[in-house]
Amino acid sequence: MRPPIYLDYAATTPVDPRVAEQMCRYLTRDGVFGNPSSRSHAFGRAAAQAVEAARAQVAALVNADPDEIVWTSGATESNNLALKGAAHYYSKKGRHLVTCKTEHKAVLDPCRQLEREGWQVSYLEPEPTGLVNLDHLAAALRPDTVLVSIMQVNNETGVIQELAAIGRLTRERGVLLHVDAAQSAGKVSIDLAALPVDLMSFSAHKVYGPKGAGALYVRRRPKVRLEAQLHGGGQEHGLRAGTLATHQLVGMGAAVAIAQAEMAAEAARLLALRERLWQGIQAIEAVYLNGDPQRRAPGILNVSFGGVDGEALRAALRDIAVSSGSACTSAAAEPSHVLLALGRSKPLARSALRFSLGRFTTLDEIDYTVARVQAAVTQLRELSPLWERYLEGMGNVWEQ
Amino acid sequence: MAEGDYSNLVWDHFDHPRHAGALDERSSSVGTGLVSNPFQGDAIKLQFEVTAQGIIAAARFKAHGGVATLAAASLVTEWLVDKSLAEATAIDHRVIAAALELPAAALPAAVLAESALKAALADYAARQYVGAVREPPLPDAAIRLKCVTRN
Repeated sequence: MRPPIYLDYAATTPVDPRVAEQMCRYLTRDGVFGNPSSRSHAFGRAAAQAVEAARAQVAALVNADPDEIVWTSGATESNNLALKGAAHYYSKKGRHLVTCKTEHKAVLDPCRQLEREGWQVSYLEPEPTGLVNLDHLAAALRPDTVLVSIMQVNNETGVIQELAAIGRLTRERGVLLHVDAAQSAGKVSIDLAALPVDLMSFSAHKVYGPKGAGALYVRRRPKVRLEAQLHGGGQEHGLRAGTLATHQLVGMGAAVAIAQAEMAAEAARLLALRERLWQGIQAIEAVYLNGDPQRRAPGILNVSFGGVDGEALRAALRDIAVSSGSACTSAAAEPSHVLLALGRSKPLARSALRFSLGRFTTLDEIDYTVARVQAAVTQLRELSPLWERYLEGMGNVWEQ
Repeated sequence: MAEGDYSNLVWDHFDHPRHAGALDERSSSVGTGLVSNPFQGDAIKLQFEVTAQGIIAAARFKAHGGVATLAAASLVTEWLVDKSLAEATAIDHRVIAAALELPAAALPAAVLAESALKAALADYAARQYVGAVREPPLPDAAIRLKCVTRN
């Protein structure tokens, strides 16, 4: 039997060996192990230099100033700092936020927490394509709206939001725009000198860097202010206390530098592989592509299968690592909140598979996956009394 | 549920279903039960064929649902072969769940398999009085937990 195939790169990625090799130099006694805040001696200064070089690499990825990058432990912390930090700081201006129902839990849950603290949150219904409707967004903005939070690339469907248009709207109204870019940074080009975005969250482990490292972009001009969520030694201009994890940040810097250098070629390669996967799956009867067919990140394909139970399908494909939704929610039996928001029925939302391709995905793996998916869907449908009814022309139950 | 939540027997039935398929629903020697669980969208169709001596000669199933649902339906058909109707009546969700070592969250699968068997037994019993002519079971699209006998 062949080893399992990993097609869950949107959940996490393996650390690139080039990155791991860099990180190892910042841990042991013979390496740069000093505390970056210990500016009084050479150990600390060497570590600080490495951290600042990594900060410049992250800033370069999105055409920002290094001073605008705040280190965090990952995109979840970045989202918490952005949402709660801005909401608390600007609470005198108002206590209203706007986001979308298809956001990641790392945005929705901080919103819920702010609601418990007395804020009001409007949750936009996306179009069936997954895109935010700009008219609905404009209508949701109020005089007391402090911040809008919209992710750039959806983690389940790969749909890319129209950030420039969204940002023009929020700028006009003097509302801050936060963007969760955990799935987009390093995969689609981002120019924060041009985009009207005020806060942007990044993750290292989605781009072949280590888990436990992330960053938040905080715009300087016009200046965005945040209330710190972690208090301590005053690191990161007081915005995020805690000793900086030099090896993690060096890893993140190295990872985004590689991603930036290889982005165009890698995007084209992934797009071709994803198209091949979709062509193979599309040949199966009663399959449903989730999300806009055009505006999608190259590495993600989300498909629902009519007349097939999701758990059984994933079990039949257990030598292929795919996801039912986001990794963070796959433990729950509930169907994906993202696909339900796109208007999918519960049976279709349950039967969805998210294939996410990455740097180490090969053509051979894609062809094998197509064959296995075709076989598994066929087998399960042959077993299904519901599929039998569908073939007899008695309609299908999965679109209801 | 994850791979480790199920016993080897569950995986064996899931990977190698026994007696998948169908028997002739119109035959008076065949009992058919089609039941479904509205909460999870699971459905099991279970059939058996009885000899003149009152012994189950063949059993078939079709199932839509998760790993446990498919395994429970497969296991019951395996058990039914060569059993008398009285023996078949004794099969319930407890023995199914125990044999498959189902986790608590998967108990509805065992209940659904028992319901399918009970529906098939009732269907078979009803046909012994009414004879061979009958319509095929009406698989209600709304997936209610119901016995498809003669409606």
